Amino acid sequence: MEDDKIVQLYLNRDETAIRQTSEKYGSRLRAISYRITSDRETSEECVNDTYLETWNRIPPSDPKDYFYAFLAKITRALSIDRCRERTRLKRDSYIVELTSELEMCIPAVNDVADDVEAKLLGEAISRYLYTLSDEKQVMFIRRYFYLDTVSEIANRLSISDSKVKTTLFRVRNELRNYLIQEGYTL
Amino acid sequence: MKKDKLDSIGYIDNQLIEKAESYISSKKKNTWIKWSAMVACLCLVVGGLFTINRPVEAPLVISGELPKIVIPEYEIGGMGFEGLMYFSAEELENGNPWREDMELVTLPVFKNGCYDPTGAGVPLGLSETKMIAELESAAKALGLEILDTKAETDNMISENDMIVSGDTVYSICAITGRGNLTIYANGSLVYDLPDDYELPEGYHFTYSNISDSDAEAAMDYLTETYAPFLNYEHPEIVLQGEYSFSGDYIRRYIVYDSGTDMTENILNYNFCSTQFAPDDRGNLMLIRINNGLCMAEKLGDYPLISIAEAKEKLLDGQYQTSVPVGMPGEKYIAKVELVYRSGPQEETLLPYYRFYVELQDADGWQMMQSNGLKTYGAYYVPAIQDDYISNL
Repeated sequence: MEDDKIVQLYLNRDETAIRQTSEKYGSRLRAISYRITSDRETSEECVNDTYLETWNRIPPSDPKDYFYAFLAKITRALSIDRCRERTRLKRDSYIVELTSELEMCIPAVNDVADDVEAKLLGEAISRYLYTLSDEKQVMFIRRYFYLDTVSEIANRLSISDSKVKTTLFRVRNELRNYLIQEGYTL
Repeated sequence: MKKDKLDSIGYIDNQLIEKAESYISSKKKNTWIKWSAMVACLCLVVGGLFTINRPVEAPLVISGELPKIVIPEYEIGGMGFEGLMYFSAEELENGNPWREDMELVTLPVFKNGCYDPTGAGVPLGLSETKMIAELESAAKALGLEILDTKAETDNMISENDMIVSGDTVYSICAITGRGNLTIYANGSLVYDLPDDYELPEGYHFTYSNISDSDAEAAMDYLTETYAPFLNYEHPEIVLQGEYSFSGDYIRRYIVYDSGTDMTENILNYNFCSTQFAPDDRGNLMLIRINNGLCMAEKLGDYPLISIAEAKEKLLDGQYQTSVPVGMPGEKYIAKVELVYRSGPQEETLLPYYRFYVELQDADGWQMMQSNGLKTYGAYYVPAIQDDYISNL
């Protein structure tokens, strides 16, 4: 079923929308959450909370043209928050590892106006990513949006782990330079 | 919660996120199923279709002993809580064919072959071969030519807790010249009509602001027009809905096969209905056929308790509910009906008495709206006798 029609069901407050969403995207959302939390029970919670959040956000949101990304962002944010809240998940080290990789290329976000600043920064990063080849874009987003391991990315792209690491290192350096040119302070 | 650098990545462009999800290296073999490659094996299976809109013929329990069943936990998958809004209890009508005066001694209980233990609602059950056969059959009934197909496979959690791409197909979408048809492994079939589809004058329909007679006319037309696709011998139309917070009556357009006996009628209403959904111009947007018993294994016919016994259990606190406030008391019970809960979260499919209770404001929840709408919460009591339940 096409995404715009699923979104239309939400807009019409038709509960079939939830069933359609889980049937079409439940497997992918579960994978996103599990990659981040590495815990079956928590990922189940995050996916279910994604459905509730989606039901609450549409309307007024109307993500007909980007429904999967809309869902993925919610699942990702909920899953990262759960990891921070629940130290028993022992995902701190992985989250810290990924954050530290971004340390040198992304500026810290101001606590006060963080949503607005984070959004503007996200837009600047997107502009940079669009200058890259498809493979480099995918590598960066799989690593820092989907939180894939280096091996998972290498397997997806049929390349070696070392090539993934080297490429990500270069992309991060180029991103740093790009953001400095855009006026960000690092 | 404080934002950090990972949160900034959460704001990157949607197209980049979607591309990274679907991107497959050109070095990797394309795993989409191509219809042309499947044609050779289709001939063998098309003739042996099971009927999609009928409860499956389940094996009888030979032994006189009925196995004890486990009542599944009640989770409603992200919908908050199950509460319906009406101005009065008299409006609590939903087309359920069950009536208090039906002489039912037993009803069947099934093991749900589409149960998804992960809670994500991933469709499971039908084999790829059966799904293809269903698509072929549906396309033929609709007079559609299948031009191409796309299959989706499940992501699996491996034994060493890694996410790996599985090879279990959970949906197949058939691209046709006039909309798409998608079959899910749980038996649900969705016909996604083309955007330029126009209903004839007089048969447009909407969720709200439509009279009973206009809704009936539209539904009669749709049921007749799509009769070969529905394949119902005794179509029964349900047009009832519920109110939104603003007081608009949101109607549903459902049809099911009332069958030839009480049990079949009840099972088809609960598991095998079809929903028609309009778009924002009043045209038909999609048809969804549910087939909630497609992978059900019958465990046996179980003796039922009476409504009085069920009510006693309700008042004794022996119920399941998603309502966040306590059951307010006997005088607030507005209605009772017998239903089966269905869906991927139900491991066992069994009958319940569902009590609708007029909820009172409590614990910060506003259950009575300023426009006069009342909220009726759903409370479930298993309808089978305690002797057959292992987790009382």
